[in-house]
Amino acid sequence: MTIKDTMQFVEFNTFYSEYAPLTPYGLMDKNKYHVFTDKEMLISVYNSIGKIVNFINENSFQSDKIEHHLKRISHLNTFERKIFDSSDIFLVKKLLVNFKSIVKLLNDAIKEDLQISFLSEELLIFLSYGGANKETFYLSEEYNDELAENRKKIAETDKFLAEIKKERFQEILEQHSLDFRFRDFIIASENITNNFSSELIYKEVYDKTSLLLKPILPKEYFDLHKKREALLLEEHKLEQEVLMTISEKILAEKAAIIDYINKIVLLDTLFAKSRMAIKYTMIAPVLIDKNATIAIVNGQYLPLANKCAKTDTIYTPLNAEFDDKTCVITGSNMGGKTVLLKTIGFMQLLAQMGFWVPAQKFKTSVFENIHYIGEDLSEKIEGLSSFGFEIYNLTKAINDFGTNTLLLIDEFAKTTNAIEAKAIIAAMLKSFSQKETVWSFVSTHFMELPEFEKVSFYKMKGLDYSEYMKYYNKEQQYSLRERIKLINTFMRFEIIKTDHKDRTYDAIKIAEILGLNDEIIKYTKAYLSENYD
Amino acid sequence: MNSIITAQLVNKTTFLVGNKKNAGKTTFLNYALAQLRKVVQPAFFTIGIDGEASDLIIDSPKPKVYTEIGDYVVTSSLMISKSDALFEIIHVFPYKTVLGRLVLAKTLRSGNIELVGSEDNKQVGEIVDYLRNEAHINTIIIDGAASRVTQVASIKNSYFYYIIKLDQKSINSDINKLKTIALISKFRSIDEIDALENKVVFEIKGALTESKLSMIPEDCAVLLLNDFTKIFLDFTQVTELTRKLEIAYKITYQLVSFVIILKDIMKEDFVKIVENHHIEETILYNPYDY
Repeated sequence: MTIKDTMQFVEFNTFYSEYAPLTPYGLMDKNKYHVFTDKEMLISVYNSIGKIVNFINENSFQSDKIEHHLKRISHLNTFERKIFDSSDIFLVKKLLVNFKSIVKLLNDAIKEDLQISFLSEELLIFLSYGGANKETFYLSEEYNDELAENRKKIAETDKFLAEIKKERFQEILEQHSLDFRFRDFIIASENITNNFSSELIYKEVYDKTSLLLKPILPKEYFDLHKKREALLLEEHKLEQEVLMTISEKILAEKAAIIDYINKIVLLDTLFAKSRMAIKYTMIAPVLIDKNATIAIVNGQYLPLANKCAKTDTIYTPLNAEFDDKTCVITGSNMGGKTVLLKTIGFMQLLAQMGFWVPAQKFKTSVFENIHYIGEDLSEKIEGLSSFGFEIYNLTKAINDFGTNTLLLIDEFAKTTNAIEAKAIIAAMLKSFSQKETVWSFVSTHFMELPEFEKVSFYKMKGLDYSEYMKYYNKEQQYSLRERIKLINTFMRFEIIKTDHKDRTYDAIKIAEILGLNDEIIKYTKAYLSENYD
Repeated sequence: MNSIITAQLVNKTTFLVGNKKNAGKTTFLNYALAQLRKVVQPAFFTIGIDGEASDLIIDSPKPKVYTEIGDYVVTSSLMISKSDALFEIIHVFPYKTVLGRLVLAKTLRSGNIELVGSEDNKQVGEIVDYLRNEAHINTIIIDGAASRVTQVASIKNSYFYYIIKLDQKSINSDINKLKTIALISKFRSIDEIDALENKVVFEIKGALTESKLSMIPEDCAVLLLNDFTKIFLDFTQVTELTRKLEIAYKITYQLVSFVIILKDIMKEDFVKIVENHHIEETILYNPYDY
């Protein structure tokens, strides 16, 4: 489904950026922008969110701990290799440790609902050999007796090497006052180095006046060092054997681990969605059959509601029930037609992306396609005008009419001549209304469109001019910001059902409030009264 | 000097910055770590994949970093596998290098380790955040790649040593660099400028280069930059500029000390040069000097 344009139109990312899964797997899933069309699956997701919302509300301590463990999960390296290194094994162990803790914290209802269980206790114990810290990993000698013996020898050799060094450094310090305990070399002026023992100090030229001095260690040291090298080679071989054994054990549980990862994605995204549901007092959408009505009670278009809250402006939620599948929305400039379309698009996207919705009720069906047709928001196609772009998008949308399709059409053809534009819109309404699979919301300025069967007409209530006039003070100088605030205060952002003959004349009033000069207003009114009723 | 270096590094995040390739940063790191271990368990890592083949403190193949029991090392998983030391993996960072993912490891057996790090400032910042806030390691040393002063800007509240190798061939440009760093590391934070509201402040986002000087308005009293690493001017140009206006930073970083590595220059002669140029910053001389 192509939803890029609709997402841009409804400014979906202002909401989506707040949706914050905590694991790299959850974030990858988020970035896929899944839109689901399986109704039963979506209902199951809403139900799961319900269970998690209850869990978070009733067990805040446990849910905080679950979030803590989710945050600790890292992305595993690939399984597509025969032998893992220590960091690969560490990641598997860390995932198991945290997943096990999460499973322990979840209640039975969620575990049963999501079919989550931890079955890798044996593997986890195996990865914890050597008493390494709970979440860390160490290739312990407990994995292999030969490795234990080898490391013991290396430790003994290291001890001898350190002792030999210490003795030799002490000897040099006593004889020549050169302290090599914290330095591998010393740079000294040539004239003070003449008496240094050539058996204890190695000299080489550093620059024109100085020599670089290094301690000469006894032969015994180099013999031991050689022995250490051999032991290290042996250690490496033994470590590889241990790594192979551990890798085999991990690969034997590959299917279970992949299942845990899938469950982590599910839990992580559901918890993130549930946190959003709690934050915005959301409810589960009601998904209905394709032929039933779409209804919204107190639906909040969050990108705008949040903006209004920040600017202390009143936001009016949407209440509407749409009986027919083809809905025409008319109304004043700045009257909320576009916001209405955005609210429907926003709610629909939330519902189909498996979120709850910010409303008291949202009844809708599942659409295989959601199209926005209107102002060019992103994709620029060279040579296409705004009108051309709308036609291009409409043509694309029509190709999808074989399956359930939602169309959000905002002021179609507003840039072309009014007569032809109105004719095309009339034709669209006639065509859409005959299609069983198409729900369309068409906002337009054109009035007196023809009446068709199964086409409903709505209008935004518009400006409460009489209330506005009571408040308006002609003597006062209003800034543009104040004038916009005035319009928003007296604009009634409510939708009412009307008929195809309805006329709304708010444009002149809006122009007047925005400060258009009296002469133009006067001539406009005169023109209207001369030419129209 | 030992206790000075320890006191300067403990509980701080410190970058080692060099004036040129093979200036001696890694050798200084080994020395500093040896001092620090007496007091704390330090963490250390490098920026980028260090391609420096040798270290000119000694003009020999590049010294390896020696890690001891209790140290915390950030390097790639491959380097951990290749090391003769033994490690416990504490964390795997989500950053990939050509030599494997970066890991935080605790040393269980001493040995040599090759350091590989991220070149991305944001990632370096995130690694430091993890070390400080998740692993609760407070003493961190970062072996920065040569001449890349800009890395200091990735971490707030960080310090830096500027390791400068001077030899006869490049003495003039090295001294110029030293003077410039001394000068620009002293400019104040914008918050410390008095009566700022009465002054014309002009901000340059990004680097201040010679070509951007003409952008500065005539009446500018305070030139605001993000931090000192954004200045790409020589000493004369900076001095000239500060005659007309004051330079201030959004973020300030503290120069701990210069570490001076001399080659074919007598220390006495260098001391005279420092005096002549009125360089008053703390100077440590090569800790490997007799």
